[in-house]
Amino acid sequence: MSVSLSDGILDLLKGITLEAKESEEIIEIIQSKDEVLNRYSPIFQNKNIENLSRDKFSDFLKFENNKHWTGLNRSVGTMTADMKNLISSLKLLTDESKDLATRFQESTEAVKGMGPAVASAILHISNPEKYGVWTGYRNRV
Amino acid sequence: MKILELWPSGTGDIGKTYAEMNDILNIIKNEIGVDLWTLDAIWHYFTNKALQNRIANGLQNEIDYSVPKEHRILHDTLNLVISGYKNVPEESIDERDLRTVLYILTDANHSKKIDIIDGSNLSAEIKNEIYQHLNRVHNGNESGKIGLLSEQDLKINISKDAQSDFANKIIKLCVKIIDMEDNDELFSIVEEDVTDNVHNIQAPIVSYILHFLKPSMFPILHGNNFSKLLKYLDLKVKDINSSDKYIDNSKIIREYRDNYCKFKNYWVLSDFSKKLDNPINLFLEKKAGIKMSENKQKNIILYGPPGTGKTYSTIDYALRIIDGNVPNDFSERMKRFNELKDEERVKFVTFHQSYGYEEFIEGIRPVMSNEDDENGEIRYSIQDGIFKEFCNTALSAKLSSPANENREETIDFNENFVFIIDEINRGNISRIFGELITLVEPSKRIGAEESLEVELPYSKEKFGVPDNVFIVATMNTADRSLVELDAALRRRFSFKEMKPKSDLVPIDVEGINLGRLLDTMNSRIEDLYDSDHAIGHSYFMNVRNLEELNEVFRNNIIPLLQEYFHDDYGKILYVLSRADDNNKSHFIYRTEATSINGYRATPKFKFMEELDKEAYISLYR
Repeated sequence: MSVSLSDGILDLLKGITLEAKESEEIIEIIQSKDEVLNRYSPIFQNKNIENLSRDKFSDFLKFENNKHWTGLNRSVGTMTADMKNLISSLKLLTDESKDLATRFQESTEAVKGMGPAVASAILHISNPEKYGVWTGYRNRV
Repeated sequence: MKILELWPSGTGDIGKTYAEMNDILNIIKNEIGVDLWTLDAIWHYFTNKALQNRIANGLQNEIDYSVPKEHRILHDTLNLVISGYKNVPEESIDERDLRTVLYILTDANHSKKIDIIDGSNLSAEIKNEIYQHLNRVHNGNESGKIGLLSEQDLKINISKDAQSDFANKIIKLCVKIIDMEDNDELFSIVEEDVTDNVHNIQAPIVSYILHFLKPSMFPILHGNNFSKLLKYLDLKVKDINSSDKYIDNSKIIREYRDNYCKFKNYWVLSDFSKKLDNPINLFLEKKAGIKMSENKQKNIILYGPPGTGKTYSTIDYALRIIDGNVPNDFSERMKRFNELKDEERVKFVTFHQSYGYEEFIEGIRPVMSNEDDENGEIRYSIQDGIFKEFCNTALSAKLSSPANENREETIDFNENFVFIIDEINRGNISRIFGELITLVEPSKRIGAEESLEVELPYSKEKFGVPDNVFIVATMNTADRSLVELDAALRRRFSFKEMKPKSDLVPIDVEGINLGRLLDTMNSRIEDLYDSDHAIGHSYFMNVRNLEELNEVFRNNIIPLLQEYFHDDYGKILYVLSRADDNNKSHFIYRTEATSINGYRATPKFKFMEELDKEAYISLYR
């Protein structure tokens, strides 16, 4: 797909980036990147998903551990109710040989309670250079 | 991404939406040079803290402006209705009168409103006056419309039997407050009455009635955007739909307004909440400089310290007013601006101390009776001034425009003219405008409801200012503050503050963050003086290296500080001091006090001609 960002939007984003980097909250999130990725990225690699335990999955969803996203663990009970299904769906989600739109759609449909925020956060952790996090108009004020 | 309108168009299929979104995120990542983890943190900041800051700052910069015509009519009509009830015996007021008051607020059709008013207990005389108001709208003589609420909004939880009693109470309350001054006593009276009498109607309705009677005392609590706005402002209001909570909520809002805002009329607050439909504008307005709503403001003054882009912004204003849009490319903007000047649709003048009525409106000037004849006599003729000439051209265009037929409340950009006055506060306003200052008022323009023309003293011609003339002026607050501005002018203009924008200056010039440098100096100037004397960003926008920065300091910043502080080196030293020690500066040094004929000379301060990178960094680090 081709998306071009206007100069105005780019300038705005650059300005916001500078501003954000002065915010203590954002500095903390940025600084915790390596720690979180080192801890969780191996767990969510496609080849390792089969070993995923309920506890590890649940831990990742907590802000205290992922250091970035609040609210991911809202439906943790529902998501982990059927671990076998969860694991097979996450395996599908992180399967690079398949089309992204299809695996994202199918895996979120397969796991009750796993919305796009959780699915995209897992994709991001599994491959931080390639996948961004589902981001709408998140008003946490 | 929704704020930036970058959200994938999508089909509702979250898989496709995510895949598209991910592509966009990767493009943004590459463009702004951050990783995706950081980018997500930036989104979080953007949609929360940054938006919250923009909303609060935007609102705090709003000032009272002319309420749109449609609301002025609503205000006038409602006040007329309530005044009419002063002469209606309390015992005869019934539910028909309540319906009259409420329906004035709705967008119900004309004939229905007439029927309802006809059935009320108001006198025939008042009814006629109200009909005249409504007819002006209905017949198209008045471009505004009456009514902000839909009929469905009129929910009254009260039995039909009790409505007469209720009508009596609510109208009595309105009659009681209509002539009262805006003060705390009014607030207390309403507070006492409101709980007992109005809890049966939804707060939005109560708030509309009270607001249009007392616009600076009572806010309009209506709409999702308004609720969102209060949330962003972190105001702990409770259930804004409950009229029982209306006064408590109003007090919370009032406290915020009085502590942080410049406006008084709560219409400004409601109008501002509409910006949350497109929050991106709160970020982009900073650059674009003008919003569509400002097109309705006929007279605007851009004010701020030197170097904040006031004169530069007048170009954007002129283009937006005339063309409805502003090209992104600067050379395109200038090209179009010059075209408009050539077409005489834009005129640019600079006021100065000897500028007068004769140059601006009309005056008697000497002319040679025969220029070819050396012996020709001098005679005197009346000549049009620049503003009169401009208004006449604008009026001709307006009268010949097909849009003049069947006019509606739409902006016809094709017939707009922009008169730009640079440095308006340097001219003597009373001397330049004379009695014509009244004519620039939007409501007195030719084509407006209270259209006014005056006879000019020299030519005896009738003259008025057409409503397609927009006046955009600039004012340097370092020369004269807003407070000192001619009161007549102040009342007739809207004001837009132009602050220094440190985000527009380079952040890395040989390792020096000019944004922080500017912010630091400005916060110190504000400590010592005020924000009217800050340093504008434009001095630094084109600085590319240390040599150019030295030049800017030498030629602009230091002389500006000397002027601001009248060569008080103690204060200049503070502005330019090191961040770690307010008594030391790399910028200033003190010469040795020498002895002359036995007298000790006063030590002198001098500025360093050349400074190195560390000197600048030490100022903010």
